[in-house]
Amino acid sequence: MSATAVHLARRLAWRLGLCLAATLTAYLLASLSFDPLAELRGHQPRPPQAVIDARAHRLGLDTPLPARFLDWLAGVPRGDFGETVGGQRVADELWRRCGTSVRLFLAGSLLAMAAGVVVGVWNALRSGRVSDGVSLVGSLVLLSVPVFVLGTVLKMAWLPVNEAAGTQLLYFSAETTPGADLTGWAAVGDRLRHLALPTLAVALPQAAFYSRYQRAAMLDVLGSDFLRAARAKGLRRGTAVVRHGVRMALIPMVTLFSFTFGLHLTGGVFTERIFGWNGMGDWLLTGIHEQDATVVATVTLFIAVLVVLAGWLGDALLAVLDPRIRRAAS
Amino acid sequence: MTTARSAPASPPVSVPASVPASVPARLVRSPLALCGAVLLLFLAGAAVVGPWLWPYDHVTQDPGAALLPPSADHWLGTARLGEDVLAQCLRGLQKSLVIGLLVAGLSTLLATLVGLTAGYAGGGVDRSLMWGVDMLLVLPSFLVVAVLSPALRERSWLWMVLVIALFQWMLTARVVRARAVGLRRREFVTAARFMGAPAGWILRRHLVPHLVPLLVIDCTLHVGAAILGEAGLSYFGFGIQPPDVSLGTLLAVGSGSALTYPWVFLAPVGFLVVTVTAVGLLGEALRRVLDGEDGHGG
Repeated sequence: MSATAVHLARRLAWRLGLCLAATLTAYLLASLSFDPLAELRGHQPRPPQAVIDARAHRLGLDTPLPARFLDWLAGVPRGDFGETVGGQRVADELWRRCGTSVRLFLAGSLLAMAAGVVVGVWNALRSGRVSDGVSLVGSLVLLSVPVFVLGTVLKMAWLPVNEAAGTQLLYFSAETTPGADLTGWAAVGDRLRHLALPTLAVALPQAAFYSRYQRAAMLDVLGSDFLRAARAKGLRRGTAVVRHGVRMALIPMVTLFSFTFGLHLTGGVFTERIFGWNGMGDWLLTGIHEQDATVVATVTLFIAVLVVLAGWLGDALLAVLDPRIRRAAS
Repeated sequence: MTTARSAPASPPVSVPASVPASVPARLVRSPLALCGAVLLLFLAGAAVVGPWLWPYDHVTQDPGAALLPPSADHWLGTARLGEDVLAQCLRGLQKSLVIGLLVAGLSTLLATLVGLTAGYAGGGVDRSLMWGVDMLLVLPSFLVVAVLSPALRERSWLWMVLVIALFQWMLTARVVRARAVGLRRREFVTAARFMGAPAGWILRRHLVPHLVPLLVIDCTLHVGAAILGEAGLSYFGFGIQPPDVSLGTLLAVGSGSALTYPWVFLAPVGFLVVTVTAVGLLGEALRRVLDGEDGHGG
């Protein structure tokens, strides 16, 4: 096995450990602070103690907490994520919801990375000009709008367009039009018209965030010796900047992408609620509301796995982009 | 583990070793800093003095005047139960600013302590602290605060400040650690160590002063992040509880009627966005001045 592969494998093991620790913490915290029986106890008239005890037994509340966690964890590799407080299988809900979240978040994030890099590089090349100032203020304002507000503001902005068109050009909620039995391209179009606004809500703040960092990274590179060397070699400025500059400026960005992935994921939680997408974030809020530790732990595991995968992809990309890492690993 | 390589990219700025004397002067000349400071001072002034001058307060209800659009009587209109929206926003702004400042101070302090300890001590201490930092980064902080919120509901809002601060320091701590590792190898630190200076003294006298620019910038940005964080929690019902208001609770109430009575929603949005943007402008100005990017530095 090559040195790079060993390095990547070791990073993966480290990250999986983090995943497990995060899930354990979420499970313990939720179990300790939640009281899933409160709702039952609050019923009028109060149900007999035997009913409450039976529910407690079904939820495993009569076994010690560590045993409960290990029991839950043992099921995870088999695809068994336990039961919700209401008695449904968590796994069924999980697969349906995680697709929704991944589609929304992936589309938004990819758009944001591309836009952030382009805007950042462009601003660095034109630093000090009016366009640079305008994008600075624009990105600061975008970053100051909470994600959950951005969704509503986008709806408010789009409403007149829909009204002017006299038809729903873009939809405000859900993933597909309920009841509409579409196939082929019509179905794809329908999905896209539902996807557009929430994707923008996910992408805009992220793009603003990335563009600030990309601008700084690019400015750093523009003043560097190797770029001057490339110019001295006779490369035209544009060629030198694109071929040597952008590549170097992308290195810190890769780490940033993978590290802030988890932070931006929280924004996705809000977006799902605003646009009525029944994804993982929406489920997390429901889980907290219903005092359901199993759901909270499952959502945490999902988020942790995504964060870990993103981090690991970042490691791999870095190893490709930055030869210093390969050397350090061997 | 090779934590140094997995450190999150701080903005790739090279903060100079110490703060040059000309920084305040350059800050005054920076239009960004000026805009940010004027906006912030104005907002803070309004939040503190406004409630005294404005004839309405945030709890008074006037059912006869519910959901009126902005007018000379109610500059920003009235809400569902006839509360004056401007009075509510001023009160909410007050709360949000206090929360932002407290959280920023606390989390910067925490980040400095953990980052310096890890970076200076190195070895096992460093590894275990950074492992904890990484774990907290994987665990979504919103989740933890939301899960804890039922337990916090009956307690003072200061508990929420503590909890938000506890989940906002990790990225800064990593940057501080990386910088501390670099400083540790510098000659003046080595010299102090060989002279037998105690670790606490070296940290205070030699390391902290070098970190001041970074910490000031981060502390500024934490204010904005904390205000947004609190707003998010309150929006989903996990933060400030009624009858008290924050900008987040106002947004939560207003968003339901955003398409029909936009002022109830847009007023708190405006206050929130202008506040956080002003903080951001100040942070960016500080970064540019300390980074010498404003055209005056080296």
